[in-house]
Amino acid sequence: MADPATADLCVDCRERDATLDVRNRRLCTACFMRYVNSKVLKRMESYRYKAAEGDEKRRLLLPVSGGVSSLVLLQILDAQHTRQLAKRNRTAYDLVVVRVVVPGDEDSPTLMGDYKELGHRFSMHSFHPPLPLHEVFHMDDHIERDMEHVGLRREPGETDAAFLDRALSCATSVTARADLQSILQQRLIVSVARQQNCESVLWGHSDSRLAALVLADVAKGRGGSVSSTIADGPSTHGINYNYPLRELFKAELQSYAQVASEPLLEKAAHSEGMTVPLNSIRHTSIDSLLRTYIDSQGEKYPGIMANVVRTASKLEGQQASVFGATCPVCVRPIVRSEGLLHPDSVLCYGCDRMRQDIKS
Amino acid sequence: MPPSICEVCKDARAAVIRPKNSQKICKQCFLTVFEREIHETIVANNLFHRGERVAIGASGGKDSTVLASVLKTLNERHDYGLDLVLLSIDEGIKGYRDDSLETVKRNALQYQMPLEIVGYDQLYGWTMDQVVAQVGKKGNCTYCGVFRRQALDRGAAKLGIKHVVTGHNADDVAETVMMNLLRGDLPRLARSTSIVTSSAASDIKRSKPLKYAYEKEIVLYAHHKKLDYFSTECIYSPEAFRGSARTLIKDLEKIRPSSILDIVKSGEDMAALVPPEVSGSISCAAEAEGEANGCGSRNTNGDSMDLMEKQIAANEAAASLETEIKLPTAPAEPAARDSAPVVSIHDKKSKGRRKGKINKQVMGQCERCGYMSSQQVCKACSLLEGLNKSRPQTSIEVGVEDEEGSTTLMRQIAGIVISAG
Amino acid sequence: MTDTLTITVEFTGGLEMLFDNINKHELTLSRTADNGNPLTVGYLVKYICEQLMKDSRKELFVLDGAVRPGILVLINDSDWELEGEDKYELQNRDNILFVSTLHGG
Repeated sequence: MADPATADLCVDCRERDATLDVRNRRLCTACFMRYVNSKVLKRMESYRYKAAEGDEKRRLLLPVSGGVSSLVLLQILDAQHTRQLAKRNRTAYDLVVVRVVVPGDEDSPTLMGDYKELGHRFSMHSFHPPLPLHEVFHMDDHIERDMEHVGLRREPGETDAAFLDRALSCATSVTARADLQSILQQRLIVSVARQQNCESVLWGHSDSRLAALVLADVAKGRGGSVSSTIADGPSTHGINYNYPLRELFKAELQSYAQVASEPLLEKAAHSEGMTVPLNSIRHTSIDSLLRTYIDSQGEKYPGIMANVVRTASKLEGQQASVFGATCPVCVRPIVRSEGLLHPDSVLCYGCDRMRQDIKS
Repeated sequence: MPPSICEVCKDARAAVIRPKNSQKICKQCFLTVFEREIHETIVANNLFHRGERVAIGASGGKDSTVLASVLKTLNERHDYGLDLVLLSIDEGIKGYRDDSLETVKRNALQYQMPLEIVGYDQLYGWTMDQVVAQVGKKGNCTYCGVFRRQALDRGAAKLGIKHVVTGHNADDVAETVMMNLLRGDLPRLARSTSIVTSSAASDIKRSKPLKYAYEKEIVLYAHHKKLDYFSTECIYSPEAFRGSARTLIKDLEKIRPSSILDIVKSGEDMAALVPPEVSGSISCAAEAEGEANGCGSRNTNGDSMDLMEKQIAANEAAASLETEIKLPTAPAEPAARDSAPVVSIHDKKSKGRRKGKINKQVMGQCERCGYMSSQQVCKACSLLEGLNKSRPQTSIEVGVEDEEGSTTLMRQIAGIVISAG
Repeated sequence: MTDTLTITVEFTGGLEMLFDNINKHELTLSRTADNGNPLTVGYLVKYICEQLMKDSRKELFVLDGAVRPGILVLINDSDWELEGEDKYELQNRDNILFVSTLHGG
């Protein structure tokens, strides 16, 4: 046991024993939790109380993925709501939670049960019933027309579910399939937000996740529009995007989940902690390769990885002279730059690339 | 496995799979399309004008050999009317450069081009062997990089040539884009995809006709045309390490071969989006690009990622990194920096920019040698000063110019390290 | 059919340094060397690592059991991807070329 003279005290409160290493600072659990909460709430400041609210309360959509990050976000915002109710007997906004069920999730026997449990625990908020991905064809008015640009067309009599399955299987590469699925997922979530009268989507992306996204987008030829996708504020979907966890690393969120005294968080942290064997590189998508890259490099070089998002954010998302139209498929701005690589097309370069990997 | 037929001529057996589009193509069609695409790059970007004297930076390596061969072919086939010259740099590393210089001499005969060799000893009074004897094996690559960049320009100037072409290929550009993104270097990111780099104050412009050519195709072109080239490692460079941008690029290429050009495209788009006041801090041409025809060194000075990480930490702790005499800049405010480490897209205050190390550089001349430089004393002269005083530079920090040296070499980082033992 | 196979293996692009700086190697392999299975390029790669490589840094040639990304393999001058990659069955007098693309120049 350390003798009192060399006790490892938290550098913030200087009272309690430090138990965690956070960016080269030793912190106790309580200060660590405060640190995490404050980072998130700072990012939520634009959703503070307004003096004259009117009848319409703001509604914000929080998609959960079953992963730790989005659950941490939910827990932190729920705690904020609890405090707001205690202080002023009202909350600044309403949260609507939704879970999209993607192909592959069918293997998870606990998905529905877990989601129900979540709904009971955080009953203060509305929980939309879980949404299968194929609902996008039902909820997004334009998606079928837009899919034709990549050569995908519903066959007569084909159900939503069958169309989705077939569309994804037309992708000849793992990357293109993941890309297409991600586009459909986003459009579904935006549609839900609209349907639920939500003005924003609060994404559970950590800094690590955002960094992986930036690098993956660059690798897929989508680098030009990356700054507009990771920005907090109005998105090209006509709805706000926010990333309240953007200043926190995945590892920090994992630690938080373990110490927050919240059984559901602990459970999620535990199951995510189990390593998934890496597929052979042929069967990996660019997205997962880069997530692994960020995770492994992030351990050794957290500063560099954090830098990625910072740098991407500095690219000006709004320069009108550079941006042309919006891509009909991914709904991201099309960049006009010099170079030989992209003859005029109605699609952005990234979607054009994806289309080349889709054989219908 | 049944043989595939060439998708272009539909006649001969396919021998090559083109990474950019997975097209299966025979040897002859491949050579033809490779040459044609470079011709298109040259024409679309107006790289040359008739009667121009162009120096080809030649190291004897695959990129510069292919570049020389293709330029000669296209110059004749399409009547560019160019006066082509091979320009080679001799760093003075015994056993290493000797062989590659022999290759360049052979190339000069093979392509019937005049050859000019410029040595470090002529330019600086120091060969790299002598530099290493002085400073040891750490930091020597920085010297080499700085010296080489100037050497190519000075060599060209000596010949009265205003245009240098280098063998930078798509893989090089893609790696530079990733490195600059990881490093957070927006000014360099803005330049990294330019096919021509020059500056108002500099006479010499540099272009990369092979910018869209895959390294794999360059190797295949050299193989199928039986071109003469030399590949080796700089003997002073230590082993590479994993996790670097080059390995990442290769892994991405394995998953999806088109990634290399996709990254180049991303780089071009991002360059267009770098805010003008940031990209405006362009240093002179001599500082702008890393060398493609480098020593092939894998030197990382241990770990360049470590270096970057420390650099970023240092950035956040305030104080600039420059070691050179620089134009006075306002000191950073540590407090301001610490409070907002993330610059959101709505926050364009300068505290975010400080990290980009924007010096509003004014082009001038080195007071020692007259070479163009944004500093009062150019980098080479400062290094030489240190050498000549028998005392190495106190810390070869990764300043604006230094980064180029490191970029070059970090660019070469990959899992494969083949050193001469 | 004899019970051996003679092939030529070449290394360029700097790889030759792992093999005592010898570019061209003539190999005679027993056809039953791989447990009676037809000899494939995959087997050849293993053989090269174990028997031919003079340098101890195996990872410069093979990574996680596969030829390292960045090394091109040509079977009789043709990209090995067109021939079945590591599953290609070696024939007598085949020429297998390994060329590293990871070099400055």
